[in-house]
Amino acid sequence: MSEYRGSAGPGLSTGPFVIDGAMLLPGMAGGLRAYAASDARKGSPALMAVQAEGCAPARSIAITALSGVTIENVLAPLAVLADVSAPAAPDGGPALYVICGQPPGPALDAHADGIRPWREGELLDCVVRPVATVLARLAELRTTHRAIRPNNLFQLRHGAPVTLGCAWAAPPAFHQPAVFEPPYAAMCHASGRGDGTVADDIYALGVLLITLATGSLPLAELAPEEVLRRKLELGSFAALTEKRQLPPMISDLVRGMLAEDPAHRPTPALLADPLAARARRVSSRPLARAQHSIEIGGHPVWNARGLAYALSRDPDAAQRLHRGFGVDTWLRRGLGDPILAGRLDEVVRPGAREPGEPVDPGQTGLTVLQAISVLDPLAPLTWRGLTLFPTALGAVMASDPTPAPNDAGPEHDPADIAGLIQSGAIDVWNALHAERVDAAVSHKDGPAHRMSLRMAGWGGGLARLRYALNPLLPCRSPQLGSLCVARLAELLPALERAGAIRAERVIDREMGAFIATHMPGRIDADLAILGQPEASETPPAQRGLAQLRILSQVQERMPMQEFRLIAQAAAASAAPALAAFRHRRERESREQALQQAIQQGNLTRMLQILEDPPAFTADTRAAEKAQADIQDIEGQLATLNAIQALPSAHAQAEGQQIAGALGVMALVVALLLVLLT
Amino acid sequence: MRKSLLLLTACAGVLIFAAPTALLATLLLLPTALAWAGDTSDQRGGSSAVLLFGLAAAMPSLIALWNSGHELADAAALGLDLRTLARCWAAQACGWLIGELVPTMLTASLKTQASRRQLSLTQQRDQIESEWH
Repeated sequence: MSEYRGSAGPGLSTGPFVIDGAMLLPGMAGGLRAYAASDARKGSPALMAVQAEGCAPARSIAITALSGVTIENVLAPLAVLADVSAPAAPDGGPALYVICGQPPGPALDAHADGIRPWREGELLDCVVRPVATVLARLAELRTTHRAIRPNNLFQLRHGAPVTLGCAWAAPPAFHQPAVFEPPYAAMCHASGRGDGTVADDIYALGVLLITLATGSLPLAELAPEEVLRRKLELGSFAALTEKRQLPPMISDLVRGMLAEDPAHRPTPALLADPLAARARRVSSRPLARAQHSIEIGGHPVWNARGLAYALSRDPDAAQRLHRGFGVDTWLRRGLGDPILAGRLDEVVRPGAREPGEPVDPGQTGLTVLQAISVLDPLAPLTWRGLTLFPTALGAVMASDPTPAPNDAGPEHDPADIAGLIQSGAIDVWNALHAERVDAAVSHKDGPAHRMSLRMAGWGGGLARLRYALNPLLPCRSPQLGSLCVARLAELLPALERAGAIRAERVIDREMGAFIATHMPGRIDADLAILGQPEASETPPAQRGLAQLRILSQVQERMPMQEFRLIAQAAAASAAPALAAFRHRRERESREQALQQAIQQGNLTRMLQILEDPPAFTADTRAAEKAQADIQDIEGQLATLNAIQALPSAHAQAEGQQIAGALGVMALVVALLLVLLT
Repeated sequence: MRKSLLLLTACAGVLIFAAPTALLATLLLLPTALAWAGDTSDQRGGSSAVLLFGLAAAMPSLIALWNSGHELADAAALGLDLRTLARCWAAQACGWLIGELVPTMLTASLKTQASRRQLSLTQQRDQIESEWH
């Protein structure tokens, strides 16, 4: 049995959990991979670890909201494991694990002969009431489930209440088939459906009731795109119950639960009393259908929201709106809604361009976004074919750009996300849907995202924003291989363990963005240095020091740990900084100390050796003094050279003067001797 | 030119009014005259030393001439005395030697001192450079 032990993620139980990597639990996590797990303290074996892949990060907001909370009939998260020794995802990438209890029984679709038809009373007692109670509790905690589907609901035995499965190891509604999602969520990128509201869970519950009441999945034979078009054209209830006979009570309940406007769906509290919920009738104007269709993108469009959806999928939507491809005429004459046509014209006309006039892509995108919002106020944000709810921006950034099997949308270009943020489209969409979004969040979202993008170097950009919006997203540095690192404290041990450190650069762009997200503000300047191109004027040693400063700050968070491989790699780029010390003995002694620090794997000590401002200042001053001394000596040598080059005649004259003086002395002595004798 | 005229005038005066002294000086200071004639330097420092040493050696003979009545015969006797002549000429030779050796020794001494200081400074500079590079 291959096992590993890990510690829990932030805000959750800190107990050690053991995952049995050899015991896969098929069909227990709504289509996700799950392994048997246990709590080592309690010895409880009835836990499971649900794998969250790197391109579909776990739901940090929901996990935090449910931390320490016990709710009956739902597999609430107990912990998040991001241990470096965790098994990799099937694609070889890093995987996070959400620990939760094992389901009490098989999934509702687990029977070999498919889903059995349920009776009305059974549906009300075993499904509607328990699920409504769970959703009400989740709503109190300001979160949602977003994974209500037959393979993620479990029942111990006939007559027992169903239990909602794990919905925390992937973005909200990421694995939901299009049929279980409201059309406005289904048209989004699989990662872009957002946390939504409890009304979205009510919608999925309504589809589940149809499925269980009839014993088959509605519209199962259609592709997601076609399911969506049917819902938009006919309305959800009509599309899903076409040619199906539902019990009257269930039919009445489901009609309200599948209302197109989330505000018209019954609340969980109301559903807990199905009779009261049935009695509640919401009058909503039936969707106007045109006398004749307009064809956009190869599909006929019959109503305004169908037009909004078609425009969101049409790359030439702006041209279609501007150049009079009949949209205005169709709205006025075909649909008979001149007011809507006038409002659309107000949005489109300011952005109109003459033929040949340059087009501003950002402005064009905003025009399309506003036009779609006018045509269908419930429509999600659309930007160059990418459809999402703004709260799901982080999940979309973390996701694979290719569409998932349950995704009705096209492949998106990651570069478009930058355009989406920089254009202010999120602010515009939030303003247009002010009554439906949380103003406290929406007003700061756009500016904060743009600021992140504008930040220079590796401390900013899309990568930084991706990690900031996905607190549980594992670091995607290729140097970590399949090792999962979702917390800063796990980064250096994992890097040391991976053993694939690049000598020239330990910190790459992904790792820089990951560290910057978990240490905001402290390392931005150093990351800006690392983000400069190789050909920039910054000396390599300065880059090495910037890298070492970052690594040492990370190591400070985990004292008593040694990272020899990282130290060796970091020293390769930072050691040239020793050349800044000009005194040879000082340099040599520091080189020795550096080697010791490398052997100890002590990054902080290495930084202290290489970057010691007082010592460097003293060294610089002493070097200046030595330079002055050398200049003084050079001056003296020049004087001596001049003496050496003196002409011999000069010395001759000096010597003759001395000889003359001796002669005078001899003359005086002779005179004295004569006079005295 | 003017100096030469003055010198000729002085010599003529000495010949006319002190012929014995001139004779004795000529005999005793003959090497000085030769040195003076061979000295082509501006200052004639070398021949000055020869002259001064020659005068120092000749001074007792000149004073003896003046004390003995200042006669030409005495001057000739003193001037032709081999011991006196040898002393004077030796003194002048000594003066010439000093005039030649002192400048040479002085030059050599200065250059030696400069070389030693140069060596010391170069070593000092090399040491600083090796410490700071």
